[in-house]
Amino acid sequence: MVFNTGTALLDAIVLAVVSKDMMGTYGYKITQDVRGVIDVSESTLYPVLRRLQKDECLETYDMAIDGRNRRYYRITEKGRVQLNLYKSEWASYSGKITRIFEEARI
Amino acid sequence: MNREEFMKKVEYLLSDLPEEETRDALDYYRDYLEEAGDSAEEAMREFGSPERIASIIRSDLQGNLADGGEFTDTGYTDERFREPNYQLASREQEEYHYGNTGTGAGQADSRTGGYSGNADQSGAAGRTGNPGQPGAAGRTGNPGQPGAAGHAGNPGQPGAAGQPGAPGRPGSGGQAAKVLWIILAIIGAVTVLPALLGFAGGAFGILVAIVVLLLVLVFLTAILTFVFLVAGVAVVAAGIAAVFADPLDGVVCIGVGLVMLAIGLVGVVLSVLIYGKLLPWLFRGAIDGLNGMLHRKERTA
Repeated sequence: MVFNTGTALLDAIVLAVVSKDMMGTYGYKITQDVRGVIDVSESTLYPVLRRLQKDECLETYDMAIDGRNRRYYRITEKGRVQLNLYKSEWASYSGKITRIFEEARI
Repeated sequence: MNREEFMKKVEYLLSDLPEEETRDALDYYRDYLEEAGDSAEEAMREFGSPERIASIIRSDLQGNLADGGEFTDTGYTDERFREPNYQLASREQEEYHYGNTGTGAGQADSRTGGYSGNADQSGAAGRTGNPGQPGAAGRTGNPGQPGAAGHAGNPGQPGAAGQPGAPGRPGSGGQAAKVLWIILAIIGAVTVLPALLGFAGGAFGILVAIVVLLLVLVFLTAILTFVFLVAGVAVVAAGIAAVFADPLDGVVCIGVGLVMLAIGLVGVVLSVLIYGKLLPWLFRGAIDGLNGMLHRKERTA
C-alpha cells in the first residue's frame, strides 16, 4: 500500500477485528486478520494490543486450549465507544477523499 | 534456531527485568509462534532476531514505545527497531562489551597465537561480512591481516595456537564469538605487530652494521695496500740511497721496505679477491635473497 497507516487507523482496525468475535480472539489470529487488510509485520501487534489494553479498550482472559493457556482479547465497552468514534471519523474522512477523487479529471 | 531456542534467547535478554513484567510479553510471543505452527519459521524470520523482539518488549515496558513508533505503508515501524539499524546498534554494543572482556585474553596470547588467530580470523571476517553490516570491525580488522599472514609464513596451519584465546569465548552464541575473534585479531595485530617491527628493526640494524664493517674492510684493504706499496717503494729507494753513506742502516732500510712491499703485494692479492670475488658474490646473494622474499610475498599474498 502506498498510503501510510497511522496509529489511530491501526488501532481502529485492530478494534474492529477483535470486536467481530463476541468471545474474543487471540494474538495470532488477530495478526492474521489484520494482515488480510494491511501489511503489518508479525511482531507489530503486541505493542498495539498492549496499548489498547492499557487504555481499557481491550480486556484479556485466559482459556485452556489443547492443554495450555491461550490468551484471548475481547473488546470492552470503552473500546466499542472508541471504535464507533473511529468508524464515524473514517466515514467522513474517506468520504471526502473519495469525493475529491471522483471529481478529479484524469 | 527453533522457536524454543528463539524464545529462550529473548527470555535471557530480558532476564534483568522483573519476571512478572516480562511474562505477559514472553507468553504472547511464545503463544504466537506456537499458534503459527508450520509457519513459525516464517514468523520468526519476520520477528527478525531475539534481540529485536527483546528490544520491543523492553521499550514497551519502559513506556517509551508510544513516542517512537510510526505506521507507514509497510505497517508499524519504529526506527529503533528497524532491522538493519537495530542490528548495527546491537553489534556495536556487543563489540564494546566483549572488547572489554576480551582484552586480557588477547594480551595473554602468545605471539604465534595472536598471529595464527589473525590468519584464521581474516577468513571468518570475510565470510561474515555482508553489505548491510556496519563494517567497522571488518574494515579495521582486515588491513592487519595480509601482513600478519605474510609474517606468520605458514598461513596453512592456524587454529591450534589460536586456541589459547578460546577460554574467554562466551558460550552464548556464534555471533558473539565472531565479534570476540575479531577483537582478538585486532588486539593481536596491535600488540604483536610493533614487537615484530622491533625485531625487524633490530635485524635491519645488525645488517647495516655488517654491511658498513664490510665496506670499511674493503676500503681499508685497498687503502692499506696502496700505502704499503708506495711506502715500500719509497723506503727501498731511501735504503738504496743510504747504503752508500751507512751500509748497515741502508740494508735495514731496504729490508723494511721489502717487507712493506710484500705486505702491499699481499694486500693486492686480497683486494683482487675482495673486489673480484667477494663483492660480486655478496651482491648476487643480496639480489637472490630479495627476489626470494618478493616471490614469497607474492605467493602468500
